[in-house]
Amino acid sequence: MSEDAILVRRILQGDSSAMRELVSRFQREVYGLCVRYVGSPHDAEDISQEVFVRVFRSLKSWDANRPLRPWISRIAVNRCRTWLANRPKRPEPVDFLHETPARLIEDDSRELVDEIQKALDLLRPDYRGVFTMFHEQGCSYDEIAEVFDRPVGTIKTWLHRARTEILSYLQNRGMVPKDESAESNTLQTE
Amino acid sequence: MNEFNPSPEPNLSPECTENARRIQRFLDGESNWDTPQLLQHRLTCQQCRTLLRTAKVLQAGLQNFPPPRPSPDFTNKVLARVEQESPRFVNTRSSSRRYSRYSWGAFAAVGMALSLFLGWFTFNLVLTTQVKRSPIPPTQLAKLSLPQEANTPQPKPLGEKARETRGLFLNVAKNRLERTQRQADLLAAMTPKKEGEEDANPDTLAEAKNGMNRAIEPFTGTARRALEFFNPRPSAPPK
Repeated sequence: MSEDAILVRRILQGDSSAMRELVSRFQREVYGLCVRYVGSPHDAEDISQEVFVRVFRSLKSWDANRPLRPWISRIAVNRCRTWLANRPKRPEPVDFLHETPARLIEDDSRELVDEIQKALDLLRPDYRGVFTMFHEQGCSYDEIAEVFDRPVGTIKTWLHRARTEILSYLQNRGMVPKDESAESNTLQTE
Repeated sequence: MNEFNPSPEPNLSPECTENARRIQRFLDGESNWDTPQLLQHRLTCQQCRTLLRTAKVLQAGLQNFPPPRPSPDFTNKVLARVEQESPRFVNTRSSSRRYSRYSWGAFAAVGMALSLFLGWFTFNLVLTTQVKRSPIPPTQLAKLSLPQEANTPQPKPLGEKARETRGLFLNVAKNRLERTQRQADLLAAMTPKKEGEEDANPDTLAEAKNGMNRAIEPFTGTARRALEFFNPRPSAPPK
């Protein structure tokens, strides 16, 4: 029996420490996905709490043969979509980086991070969600496809479009160095 | 459009398209080496060079990108909310026991009510059927008929309504007979008898006397026929 299945069984038996463990294990991913989706940390926290309430209510219907993380992420995505569909048309711009505790980063990097964040805010919500799950949470294409209930090809398309838009935004914002050295013009990854 | 060329632009050359595809794989974290043709193309295409540098900047930025973190008391808030909105879930074991007990009790109550209803229904059905089917036995019918003389044949068993009607009819006939007899006696007393003269209606008087003796003989022909219908008698003795 997998770790997830053992944890769920403990929860269903009424073990409150298991409930706390589940929340601690997945709170960053759920909250991270929600805050990227909706853009507001306050709203993201409310939505995240709703997500976990629904998770506990629906635990009995979880398939023990499948991993828990995509299932929880799917609930989070659905809740975010519902929230976005019900919210007012014009969301208020939020300076996310000032409200979120972050690691100490240098000024140049901070400026780049700011620009990347702004570029993300301009993306379509689903593109934003896919980008976050791949680059921040390290999910595979298969996992993301399961969360969004789309084919893998569609997820790849969404991710590539998100990257293209971010790259275009960074170019327009002048974030690309003019270093024309040979090294900067080759891939050479291992 | 396909997964390797998700955003085809009609103005891009095949080399530029290949360059874009390799940059996507680079951002995917896959091992990626330039071909000599691609290196050569980038030397001449500024757009592809810029795109590659931008992808490297993005990758560097993502490494420093701070992941969003919830508040320190997020877990407590979640558990409090779960307890508030789904209190049954907090203690699932006892709730499931309560549910099990309630469900068995409900089943037992429904079963008992159903069995009582079926029993009452069946009892009523059986009772109604027995009342309809049971005829009055002949022995009881015989007891209900009027007493008759020993030599006369036993009349046919009559229904209850017929017996009531005959009873009423006989009472009326008896009353009229008595009145008629009184009238006849009075008339006889008032009228002197002549020699050789017989009674005005000897048959009637005789029949009336017979009726008085028999207690069932009616006065009028219609009544007589009705009585014969209810109580057939043997043929009248010759006069």
